[in-house]
Amino acid sequence: MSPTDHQPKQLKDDPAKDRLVRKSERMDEFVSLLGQTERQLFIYLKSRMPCSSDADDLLQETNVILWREFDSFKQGTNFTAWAYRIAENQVRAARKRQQRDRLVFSESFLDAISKELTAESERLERRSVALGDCVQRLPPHHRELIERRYQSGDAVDRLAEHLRKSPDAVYRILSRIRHTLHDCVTSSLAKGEC
Amino acid sequence: MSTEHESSDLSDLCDAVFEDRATPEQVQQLEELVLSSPDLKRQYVELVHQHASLSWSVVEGEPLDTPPKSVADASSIPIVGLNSKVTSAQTGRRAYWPVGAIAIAATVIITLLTPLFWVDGGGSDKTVASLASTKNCLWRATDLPTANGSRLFSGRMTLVEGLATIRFDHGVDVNVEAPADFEIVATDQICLNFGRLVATAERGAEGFTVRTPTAKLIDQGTEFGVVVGDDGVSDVVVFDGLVEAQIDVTGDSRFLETGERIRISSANVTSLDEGDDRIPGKIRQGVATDKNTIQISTALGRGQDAYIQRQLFADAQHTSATLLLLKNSLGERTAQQRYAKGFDRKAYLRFDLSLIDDHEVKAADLALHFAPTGFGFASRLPDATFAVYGLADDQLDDWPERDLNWENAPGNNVGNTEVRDEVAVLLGRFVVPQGQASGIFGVRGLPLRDFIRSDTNGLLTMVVVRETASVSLGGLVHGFASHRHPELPPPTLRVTTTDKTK
Repeated sequence: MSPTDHQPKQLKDDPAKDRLVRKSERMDEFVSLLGQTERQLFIYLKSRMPCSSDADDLLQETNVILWREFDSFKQGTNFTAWAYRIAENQVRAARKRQQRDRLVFSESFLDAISKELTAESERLERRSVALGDCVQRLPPHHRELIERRYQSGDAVDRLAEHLRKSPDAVYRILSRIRHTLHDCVTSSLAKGEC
Repeated sequence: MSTEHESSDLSDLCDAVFEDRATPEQVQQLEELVLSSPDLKRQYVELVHQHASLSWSVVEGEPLDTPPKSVADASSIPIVGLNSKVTSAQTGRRAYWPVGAIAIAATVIITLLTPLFWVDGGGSDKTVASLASTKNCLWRATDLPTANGSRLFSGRMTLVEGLATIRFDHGVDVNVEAPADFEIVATDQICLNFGRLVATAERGAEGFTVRTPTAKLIDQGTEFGVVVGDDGVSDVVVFDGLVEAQIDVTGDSRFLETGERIRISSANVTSLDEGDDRIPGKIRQGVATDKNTIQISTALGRGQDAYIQRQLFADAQHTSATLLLLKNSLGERTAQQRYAKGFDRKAYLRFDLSLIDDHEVKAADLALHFAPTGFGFASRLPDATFAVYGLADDQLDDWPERDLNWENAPGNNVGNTEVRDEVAVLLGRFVVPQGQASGIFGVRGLPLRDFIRSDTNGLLTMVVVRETASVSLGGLVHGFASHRHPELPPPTLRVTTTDKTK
């Protein structure tokens, strides 16, 4: 057998090759752009809907739509801005679904936050970078708690059970840790560490 | 301007929102506060952004000890480096964790057997020593990391050039001189298959043992040298202190004092003169000089090799005609992850055993010659653990080299990294260190030997998978030479035998 026989679906003489290559290149481009934006997109969605895990699902839905609509994205324009617009539509649709049975923020409030997030995006990025370091500086038991809260997604009640503390006590500790992290990040940026 | 009181109230309200405890009144109060002052709006946005950033680590699966990133590249890399000790069982809510990094710690289990002797205790998920220093070291076919300062599990190392110091946790430094082939067994034990070493024990580290093919040398508070030749004959010299030599051939123990030198062969024990300091030859490169070893490659007889790709995208271009590619990527949640998953690959090898029909298999090893694939970035993947499986059902040996794919590959677990448990046996694992794209890697040991012994149809199929997953796009693709490679040797099974007919 010849060396090239092994290549899966060799396209050398296939008339559809060019089209497939273009599609492949387009997919590569999309994935690359999404790779650069996806984290910001998630943080944007989560910042808009902080009290639920809907941001995870919204990110997935948004990604699917972004790929579906990718043909309408003009090369050379701002992919992140385009993605934010599509994400925003997902947030609004989700809010409508939620309004029936859940607590949600008002439209005007969300608009104001959205503007602030966009206007302050660079500064907030710097805060995110410093946050990783601040988490590492937490005392071990605090770091473990914050890991369980955010990595395992354990709710306060479950954390309380695990730590044999009351839910209120755990709630207060988490509050303190968030406060500590916020101060740490602010002070890191002030010192120009990041 | 906001007051301190308002700022504190806002923090409290944020906590209530983040923990899903807020009442409609509190939400309204929060909105009013935030919209009442730019400072409070800023504070809220910082807090909610922090909450979201912490949550991102859940979705993306950030590697454990990611250093703080520069702002310049922050957009392309997930942010929060939470130190994960969470096992998959604990990550109940979601399952997108840097299991690649965790897998290294959890699954580096080395299965090694030399043709000459076997010491129990190999195969641990705990580190037992450190690579304290290396000088001009060139390693070959090592199961363990080789960077200075690396923590070492039990496993086998082959030093081709240079001088390496291994610091055992028991309190002993062992200087190994190339060429040498040795196994780190436990915190207090090393096996020297071939080559030379000097062991220096701290006070209180008595009991440290150097196993050789012909003896056990037990430190009783000392410094001593050991040289093992091609033939397994072991020379011992005590520089200072006392060593107990338990001699295999006689079953006796001898205590050696400062200045004493002996030679222990499989037949007898003799004293050595000063200056009778033989030098082991070159590392055995293969089997040509060993009449009892047969080398079988996938190019021989009915042997064959191929790789399969999950290939969610039919137009995938990242292929190789000469290398067998290996990749495993993590998660299918995001579009990016699903795309990357399409490039998962596993390699299939088939060996024709008809050459060893009349022989009893004593030992075997599988050697794979890795080479750069040109796909992916080494920095996006930690040290990578690979597993080699054997297909136990002989009926599965009949697979098409040319048209093998993800769906028809025998024993392939199409939804996962591994092969199907019910038809496969694990033959061993090996680790390719981060940044190393070339070299000979493989497995050896009892499972491989028994797998060969259990064959009934003269054909042996093995599957090589990478267990360590890339956590994001751009993870390295590994590859080793197929039998179509123009320069490198094909996958090769080296079988040491005795003739059944004798």
